[in-house]
Amino acid sequence: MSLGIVNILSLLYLSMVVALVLSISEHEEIRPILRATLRRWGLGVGLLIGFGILVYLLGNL
Amino acid sequence: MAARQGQRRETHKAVMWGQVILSWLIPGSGFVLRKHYARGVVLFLLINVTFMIGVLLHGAVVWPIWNRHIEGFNIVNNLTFIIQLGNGLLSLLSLVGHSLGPNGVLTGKEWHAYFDLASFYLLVSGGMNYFVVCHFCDRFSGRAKDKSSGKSA
Repeated sequence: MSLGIVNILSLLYLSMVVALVLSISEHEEIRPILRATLRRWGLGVGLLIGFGILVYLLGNL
Repeated sequence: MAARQGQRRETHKAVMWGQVILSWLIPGSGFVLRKHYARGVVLFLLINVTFMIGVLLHGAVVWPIWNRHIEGFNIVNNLTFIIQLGNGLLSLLSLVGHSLGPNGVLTGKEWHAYFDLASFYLLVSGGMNYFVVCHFCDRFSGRAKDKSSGKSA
């Protein structure tokens, strides 16, 4: 497996772990935890991809 | 009566601090001791699996250079080290093991292509346990105070 693929999978996994730990601390029931995790995960990955695109564009100016 | 209440408060404080330290050493253990078994076990697995993935990718907790006049000093390394220690027992084992050289337990390979990525796994693991310990304090220190003063939580 190439380093690039490992980095992308790591991005997805680590952002999921952070979202899950934060959601577990906030809620008691499983469904609200899963919903909050998915929301946070989507937001987190979206922001990271956005930053990545921004850095790429700024680096190619 | 007041003396007994004060003694009970002190005992609760000591028990609370003991649970906080144990929660730092073993992620999720504080919640298990407070009978929140599912929460404790899930947090234990999340944090320690992340740490072990970092170890499998040849990462380790490395003692940084603290003297800013020495070449190689890097504030990011120092902050990374502090946050990596958040996983308590495993982080300490990794730190000691890596210091012992290639024959130690949980040693890393600083020259390996995955070492930086692995350090990031250890960083996230440590950071998340700091958060869990703080959450444990917030959740239970108030109850401990309320119980000792006779109020309901």
